Amino acid sequence: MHLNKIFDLWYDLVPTLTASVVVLIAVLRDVRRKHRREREG
Amino acid sequence: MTAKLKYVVLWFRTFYGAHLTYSAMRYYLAYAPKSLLLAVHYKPLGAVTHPLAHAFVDAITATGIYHVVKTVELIVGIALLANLFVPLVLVIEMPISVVIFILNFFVVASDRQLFSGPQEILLNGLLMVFYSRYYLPLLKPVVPPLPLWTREPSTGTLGSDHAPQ
Repeated sequence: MHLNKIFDLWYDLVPTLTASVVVLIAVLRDVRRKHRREREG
Repeated sequence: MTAKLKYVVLWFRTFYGAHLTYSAMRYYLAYAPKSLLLAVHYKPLGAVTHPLAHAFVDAITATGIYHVVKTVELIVGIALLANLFVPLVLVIEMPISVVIFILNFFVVASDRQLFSGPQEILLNGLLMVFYSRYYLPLLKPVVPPLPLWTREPSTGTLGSDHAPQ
């Protein structure tokens, strides 16, 4: 696929995917920390 | 700040940072070696067809302002992604967002631009709202000069030692 087409297709998708993945990682990290704190009392 | 709002701010900050970085990278890609551009079938971005916008973009390109704008975009984008100097870079980006909004929404006003113009200024403005408390010290109408080399006032309001007589 031509690079221009990739840029056009991904112009909105790249920021959306990046932001969603970063937030998902942050949520999972916070949940894991919370569970660890609960286990440790 | 509530946990949910923290994630909302993180989403918008990352989205805007990625958007600006991606946009600047797209511009800078044109400066890559010709052989590489040929290998990936890259073609320069299409010229702006609107007569007013075309003249504007041509003028800022010829004067080198467009290059500065894209460099600022790249720096702001990376800073937002890295969560560095966020309130400051949002203020720096605002004039660019205003120009993009006016150009896209009022001048060009094609399908895509009617979306991307408001998107630019709404993202910038929304993030500034999320960080608005950092701007409160700037909202003093009359302040005396206070350069870095002067002694910071230890008591009272900032700059009260240097109030004009």
